Amino acid sequence: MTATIRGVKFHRRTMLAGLSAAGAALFASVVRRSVAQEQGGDPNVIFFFTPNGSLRDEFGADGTATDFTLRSSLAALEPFKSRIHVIHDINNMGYPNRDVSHSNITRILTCVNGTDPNVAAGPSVDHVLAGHLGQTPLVLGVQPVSGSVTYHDKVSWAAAGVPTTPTLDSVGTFERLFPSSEADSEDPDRDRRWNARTKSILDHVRGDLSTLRGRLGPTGRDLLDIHTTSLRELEQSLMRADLTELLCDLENLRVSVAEPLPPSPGVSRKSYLWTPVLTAHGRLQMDIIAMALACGRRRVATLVWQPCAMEGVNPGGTVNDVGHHDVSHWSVSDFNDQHISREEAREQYLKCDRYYAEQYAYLLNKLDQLGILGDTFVPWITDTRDAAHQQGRFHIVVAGGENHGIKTGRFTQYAYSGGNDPKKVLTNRSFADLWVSTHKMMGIEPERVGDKEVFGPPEYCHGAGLEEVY
Amino acid sequence: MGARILSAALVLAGIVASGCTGVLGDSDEAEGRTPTGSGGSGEAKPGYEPGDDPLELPKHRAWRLTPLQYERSFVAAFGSTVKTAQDFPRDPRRNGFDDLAAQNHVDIRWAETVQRNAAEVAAVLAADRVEGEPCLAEETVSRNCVEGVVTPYAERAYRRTLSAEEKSALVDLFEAVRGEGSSVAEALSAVLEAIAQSPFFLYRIEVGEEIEPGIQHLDSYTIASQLAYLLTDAPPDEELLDDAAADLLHDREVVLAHAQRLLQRPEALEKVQRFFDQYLGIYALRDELLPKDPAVYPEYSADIQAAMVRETERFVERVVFTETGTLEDLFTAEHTFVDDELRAFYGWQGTADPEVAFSIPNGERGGIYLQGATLSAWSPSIKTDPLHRGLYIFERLLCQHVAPPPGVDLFELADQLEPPDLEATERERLEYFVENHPTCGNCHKTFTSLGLALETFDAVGVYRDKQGDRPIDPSGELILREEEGGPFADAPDLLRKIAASAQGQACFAENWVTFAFGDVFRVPLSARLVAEFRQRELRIQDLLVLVTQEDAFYLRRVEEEP
Repeated sequence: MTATIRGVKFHRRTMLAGLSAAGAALFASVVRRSVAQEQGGDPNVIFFFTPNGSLRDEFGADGTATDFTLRSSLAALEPFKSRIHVIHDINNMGYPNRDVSHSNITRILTCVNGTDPNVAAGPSVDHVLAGHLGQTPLVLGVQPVSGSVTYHDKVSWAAAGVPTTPTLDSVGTFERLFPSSEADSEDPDRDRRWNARTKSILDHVRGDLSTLRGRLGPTGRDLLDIHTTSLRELEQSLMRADLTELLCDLENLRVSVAEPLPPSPGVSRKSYLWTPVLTAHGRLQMDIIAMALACGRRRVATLVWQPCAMEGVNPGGTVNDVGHHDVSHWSVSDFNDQHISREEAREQYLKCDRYYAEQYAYLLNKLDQLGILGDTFVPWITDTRDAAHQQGRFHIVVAGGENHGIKTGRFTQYAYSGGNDPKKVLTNRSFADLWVSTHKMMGIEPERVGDKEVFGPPEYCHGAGLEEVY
Repeated sequence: MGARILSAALVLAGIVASGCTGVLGDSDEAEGRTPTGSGGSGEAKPGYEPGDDPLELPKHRAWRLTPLQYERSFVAAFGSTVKTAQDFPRDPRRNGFDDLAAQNHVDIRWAETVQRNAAEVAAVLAADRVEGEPCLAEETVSRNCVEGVVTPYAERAYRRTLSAEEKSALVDLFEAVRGEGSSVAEALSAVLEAIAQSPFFLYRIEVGEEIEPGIQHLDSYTIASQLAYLLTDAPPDEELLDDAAADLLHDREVVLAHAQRLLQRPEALEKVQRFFDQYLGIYALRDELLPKDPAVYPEYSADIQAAMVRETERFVERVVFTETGTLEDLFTAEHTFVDDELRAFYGWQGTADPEVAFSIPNGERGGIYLQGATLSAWSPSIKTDPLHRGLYIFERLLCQHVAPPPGVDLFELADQLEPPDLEATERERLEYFVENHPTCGNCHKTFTSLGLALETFDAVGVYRDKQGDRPIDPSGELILREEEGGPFADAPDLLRKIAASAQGQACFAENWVTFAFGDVFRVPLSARLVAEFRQRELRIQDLLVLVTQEDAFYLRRVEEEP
């Protein structure tokens, strides 16, 4: 017998077969989720990162809070206008002394200042939220040309000084999230023994971790906590009679994952000729994230569309092999006009924004098809405001999450008081405020310092979130 | 034309990356610690004594093994090799070093790889042991038998003896799995899997006894592991473990003798090579061909790049190990070890045998920093980069740091920063920059002038005396923190002066200490170590083992709860 709940395949016979203790727990959570889906499911969040800012005069909206038009970069989001919220002049206040640098990438989701510009001084909001749910965030990257060896892709931080490098490997991620069920319906006892044995081994390892944890200070304990979480994920992937397969229709995704990406064009990493590889890989990663959320495997994800600064492919390029980062600068300066004009640079920079808007729309569409866009909040963030690399007055878009209180179909223009030092400028609204709202949307109490709900140190977050958004 | 365009972009990138307030920050101040040894001229300080500042000691920690250490430890514990380099994610680098106790952890990819290796090897090992061990028979297997079989694996894996409770817990695991209906081999395999996934195997654990409030003295097993992994990236050998069992490693003389013994092993040479790879930033040359523009550097190739890496490897081996050379040799030696292809690439006459020292002609260069690998690694694809070359010397050879830039929109200033003369040399460009934007330029010239000394070497390390048609002037002035630096004529002269300075000597030692203790900016360098290093005529090999005489090798600060 196969039933369908909001498009999700549901095999009753196999679902009830051979459940171990761990399987039963998973089953219980799946049933809760299935019921919840009919009522509006559990809230999720996807942090959608693209590099190198945007061309602000073409990115965002014009009009009033409820009567607005999207600027040209966001044309691809027109079908989702009622599902998005455009925000102007929100600020990254995590690093008040370093206004113009890509290294602010380490502060967007952490909102914590520190001494080393390239290293976050606290965990990022994706890890914090996932930790509340007993999970780790699914942190995937899209980067067709060799990995970043610097901080340029370090959006997500498990703890102070401990970055989570985005996983580029789609195949490995898929297999880890959706391991093939090895359930043997002929010998359920064998699966039960296997699961019990696996649990005993990992319990022993967890016991050692617990012993060791008691001997360490806070820094060492943070690292062991990451290890403990990894064991939990490992256990989930090792257990047989895995029910995920039985509740989600993974066949199309399985086929996509197995297909090779388009071949390397064999040219400079900055070239636009890489774009087909970028798009194919990016969409596959988005499919995996969407399915991981739809199937209840994860509730928090971060997608890093290429590293910032010099290392990425230029999806808006032309025959000139000029990087996304370079055209952002050259869009406002003529000093490189022998190579590419200001106008051409501006055009390429604009095309990059439009390209990423199309990818964002793809993700929203995918979530909508799976019936979880209303449950899934999708903030689109970047590392620098625009060509000048400044950290004040970002134009951003967020989407989804209406089932859990996010206000969409809106445009909010925040007042900006100038400057970027939060200790001096108390009225500017910051990413820290947005992450406080994200906590609430997820049903998680933000940290409270005094009478304030905060994310990050209270001096960088003034208040209890963004009431226009949540 | 293209070169100018790229250089302009790089200047801007450098400005953003490096900071430009006109105020030079000290690394100590920047990291909020008390400046101690890097000035290098202080009096030797005795060892830690009650009442000393415990902040000068490392925090108590668990240090996850590197992939190489894991592989070697796995072989030592289970007698079976595993290859993991492709499976583990690359650990992030800070200041070039990737072996940092405070950040390396077990993420899901580590956990998966470790589990897979454990399961594969344990199954084979368990089947063999069941077949060859009569006491493991299904009907008669006893707790004593299981304990006797698994304990040696755990002791080798954990690099110490086990407590009675730990032994008992392993046998409990065996019985629990058996109780679920598994065979002896399956249950034994489960115990071995647990050992191979235990944090006591995957981390180098620092265990100690409190000798005063907040201060622990590490035990002998911990010191044995620390020493073995430091010098060989491998677990302690039998001799070290025997002395650890006899609790002899509190005696620093005993530790020093072991250190000198381990330094003779081939793994020690590999370890020192890894230090220089990371310290010089040339590790990238091992992974991929540097993207040098073939239109500008048509002779540069994968073969040449590999020959450059071998040149530096041989130089390190000869200077540090064969010749027990000094810091001065490292910085200034007027010979190198090139093959004939690289000799021709550098434009030198004659023939070369890579196993024989080749005298560098005309004194054009000397020492490790002016070899092709380093000069290529510090340069982009199309031209030299005096800004970043200078920054490297400033930070890595002098241990000084630059404060972040002010909040100005540098890109709005772009047109002011580039001279109208398209053929301007790098020195002329810097002078134009300083004149037109003194706020940034006065700061930049401090370290860019050091990079200009290297302008006599192009972006692939070949000597030149002109840029275009204009002569290159590599002279400048070395400014040190607490001593006289003075004018230098060219790059070899600059490096001679740095090698002779207390600041340069202390800085090199600080880099080794950072690498050895895996704790960037956290372990202040003791003046005692620098004094000892000098007393031993700055022999590199002595420095390598002198860290074992530091308090930071034996004592830990117990971290306060927040």
